[in-house]
Amino acid sequence: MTRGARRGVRLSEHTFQFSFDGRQLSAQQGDTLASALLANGQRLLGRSFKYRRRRGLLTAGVEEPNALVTVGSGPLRVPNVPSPQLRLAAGMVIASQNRWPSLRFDLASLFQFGKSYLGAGFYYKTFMWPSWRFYEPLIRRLAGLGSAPADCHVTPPDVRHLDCDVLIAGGGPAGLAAALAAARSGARVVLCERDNACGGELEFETATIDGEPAMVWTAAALAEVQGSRGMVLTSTAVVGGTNGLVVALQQPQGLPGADTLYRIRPRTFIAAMGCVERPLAFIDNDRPGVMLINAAESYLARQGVCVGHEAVLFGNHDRLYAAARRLAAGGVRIRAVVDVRPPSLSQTSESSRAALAGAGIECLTSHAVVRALGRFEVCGVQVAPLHARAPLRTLSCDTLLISGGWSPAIHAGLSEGGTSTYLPQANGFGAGPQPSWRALCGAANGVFELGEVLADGHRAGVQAVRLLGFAADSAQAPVGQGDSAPQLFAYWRAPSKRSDEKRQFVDFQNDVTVADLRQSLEEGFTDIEHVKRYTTLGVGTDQGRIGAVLGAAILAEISGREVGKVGQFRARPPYQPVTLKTVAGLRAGALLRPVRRTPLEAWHASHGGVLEPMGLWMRARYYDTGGIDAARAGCEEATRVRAHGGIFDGSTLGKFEVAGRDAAEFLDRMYLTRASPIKEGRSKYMVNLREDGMVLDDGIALRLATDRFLVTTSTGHADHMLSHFEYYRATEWAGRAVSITDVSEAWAVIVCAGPASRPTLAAVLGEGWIEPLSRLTHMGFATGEWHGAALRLLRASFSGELAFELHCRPRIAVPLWQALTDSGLLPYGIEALDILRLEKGYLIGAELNGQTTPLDLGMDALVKGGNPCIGRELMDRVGLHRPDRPKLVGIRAVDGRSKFLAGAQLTTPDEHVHSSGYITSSAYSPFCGEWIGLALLSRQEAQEGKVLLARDPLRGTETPVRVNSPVHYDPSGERMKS
Amino acid sequence: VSRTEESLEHWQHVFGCRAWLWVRRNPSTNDVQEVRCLGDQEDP
Repeated sequence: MTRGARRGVRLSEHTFQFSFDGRQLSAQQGDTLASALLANGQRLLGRSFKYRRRRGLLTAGVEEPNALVTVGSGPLRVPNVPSPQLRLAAGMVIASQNRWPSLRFDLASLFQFGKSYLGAGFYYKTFMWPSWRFYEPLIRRLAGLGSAPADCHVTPPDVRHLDCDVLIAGGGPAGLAAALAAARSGARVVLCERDNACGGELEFETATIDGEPAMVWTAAALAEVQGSRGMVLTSTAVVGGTNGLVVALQQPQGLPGADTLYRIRPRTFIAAMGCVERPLAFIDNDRPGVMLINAAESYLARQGVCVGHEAVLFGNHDRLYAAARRLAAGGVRIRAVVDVRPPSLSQTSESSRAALAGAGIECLTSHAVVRALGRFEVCGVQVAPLHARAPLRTLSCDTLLISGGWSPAIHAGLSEGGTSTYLPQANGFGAGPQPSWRALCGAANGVFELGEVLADGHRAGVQAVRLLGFAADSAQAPVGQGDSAPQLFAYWRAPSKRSDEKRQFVDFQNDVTVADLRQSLEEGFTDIEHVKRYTTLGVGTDQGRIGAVLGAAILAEISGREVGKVGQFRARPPYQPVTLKTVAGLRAGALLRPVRRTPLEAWHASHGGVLEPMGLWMRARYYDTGGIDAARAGCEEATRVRAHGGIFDGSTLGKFEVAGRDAAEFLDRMYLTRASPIKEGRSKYMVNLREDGMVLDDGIALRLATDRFLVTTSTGHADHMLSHFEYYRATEWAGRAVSITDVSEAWAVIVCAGPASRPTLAAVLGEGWIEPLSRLTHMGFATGEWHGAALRLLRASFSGELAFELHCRPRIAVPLWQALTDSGLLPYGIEALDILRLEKGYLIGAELNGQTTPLDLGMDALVKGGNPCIGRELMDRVGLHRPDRPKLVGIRAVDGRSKFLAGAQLTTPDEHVHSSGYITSSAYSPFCGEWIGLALLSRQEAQEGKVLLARDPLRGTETPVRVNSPVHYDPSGERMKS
Repeated sequence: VSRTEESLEHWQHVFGCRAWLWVRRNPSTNDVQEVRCLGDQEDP
């Protein structure tokens, strides 16, 4: 836990300060948070997810399961950053997470004393009484890792698009060999390396390639690739992709804020993302001080940090011995090397072991570490022989370095239908058959010896470019010499008593133990995907990188199956934690969707309009004239319309011009109601159907000329309706004379409703409009000008009052609106509009739910026309005429005052299970002086006067209601025809 | 119509000319093999 004798290859002399949990610590340029904390003697870096056990660093990469931290504060806070990934900068403020009140003393760590009761799936079996909701708030507070800021101000990444012939993910020896092969053929290469330097483990292995030191060859290879039109992106991780698109995230500092998201479309893709070293299971294998061997070598070589004073190495392969030599040379005292294999299965010679012994390093073969000792962190290990009865030996040490082999990083090979397959020689899972444009190579392909890794990378590069038609020389593979093949031995966990399996950790991040896996099998969850969901093995940011293979192997051992038969569960992208803001990019907050503005939006906003989104538009819900709430404002506005009048901004309606010789026939086929009988200067209420006979939308069609119509649609359906029209014009009416033009934004619509609308309009519009205003009958329209701009006056009502729609050019919308308000017609919003529509029995929106036919909605008269439109045939299906089909009815409370809300289920009073229907819309009606509603009710129950119960279990109410006519106001329509 | 290597689909150029198209493509590789305007010629 000090800087070693040799300086790390990535460090410079420059030092600076940073803060961790409020303590000021020093670091050197080139440090990651992990290396700096180790250099400062800080071994406790996190708390585990469930039992809140003390945890230290396990790895030196993005796969770190324990040491996740929160960087920054306030709205710039970024949680769940793996500390080995975070490249430190001066002044960084970093906090540990998942603890309270402090990392050293965490109150929730008391959970570990209840471990017997907190096994896999405990929350599925408990917390049932009195109700899950009783416990949920506390559990939600305790669960999870870091907490996201409620208001995130982290800068979204720049997004860049790239295309290339060959994309290579991974700048280790395999990736570099592949890149060289591809670049030499003339192909355009993009190489992404997750780390901020290429080379991978070549940085700390004593290896040579083509006769040169490995890092010298690496530098030359990179220069050659870049000199051949290639691009090398360091600090860039391939995090996911689909449909041939690969997404790579470049984070120079290892956290969001100054990052770039590359969307790359490669013609071929080579994944050379290496492998992840995995741990072994033994008692208390999660103590701070237990670390993977590769991690210890990485910290020593890259940042010059010795991870401990005295270490024991434990594993199941030959690399233990080479690592012991390198660590000892770097200043770590190696107490012993514990190898589970007998000498006969090892390639390491007796003389090599003797040499280590001569240097004071004891070599124990056929032995295993069965327990890590130490209450807070490692202070020793217990070692036992594997094939003989002998007492346990205790070896004192402050660090235990372990290695259970390597799991190929195959996630890139699993997208788009890729599968995994067990590779016995690698004791791990490799990717299954790949599409021709994608290949895995090197350690990701289960190859671990340097010479083979280089050859495999070269082969992948040659195959990729040959697929694209480039000539590549397959004989020029680089030749490397490094650590020998590891001779992996299938050993996964130390033998132990059943009671001790609760302390043999398999998934460090999610506190999954061998006991949890055994329990899962005993309870019938044998499929690996079920085990994952039941035990949480491999969920969270870990996604099985550390524990997937170990878990599968232990499951196989317990159940007597082969590891390959158990299989590996599917990991989910992204490969490393990525913030939602990174994915969303600039499309967040107000920019999540494009905004459409009516010409009157600014007026509404500056006159108390409380705006709410409607589709992509913002519309006024109500006008706040002195702190009243929406319901009261809506009632007041609705009352004012009925008593005097009001104006409403209807500009958001969809408006399409359908023109051409065949326009009338086209609309006849598109709508249940026929357009061809409409006379010029007249309009008609129109309903159209989906292909399956359900109502799609309603609106009005105006016949502007013999061959020209304007049709309106509801705001929310406008985009879909346009596509629907265009689809049929392109298919069934291809070649016919019909054109469809979206003119939604070319016309603003001002609705003037109420008894005062006619005289007010006459005063505002001027003399030229007095005659049309008095002449127009219901659904008639006239055209003309106002202030030099086109204006269309349509007499149509959706409020039950005398009403006119003014379709005007946007430039006169504001002056016209202002003139109307100055003349005494005050604006009303959506709340009031819904009340007015509801009182009149007009559809509000929820009734058009895609499951109702015109007959369900009481449009029998429209159906009788027999127009053979789209959907008409399927509307006559027998099933759509059954007596249990819904029917639109009106609803009122039996007592004339109780409140009921949309969503309440309607049942007969003695029925508690089966619903007869539900309330689709409700509001307090100022005209009726009580709550009224619309409902879709089974025709068997839809008799006027019938009493039902409106059951609303979410709100805990049951209201007796009476079935009514849907029309609560002016059933004869005298007022709107006046 | 759709197979692993070939899928015949209706697409609309929503952010452009709004034309409806036949698109024949390989869903595994996303290679677009053929594009036609709907209704202009015989259906593929």
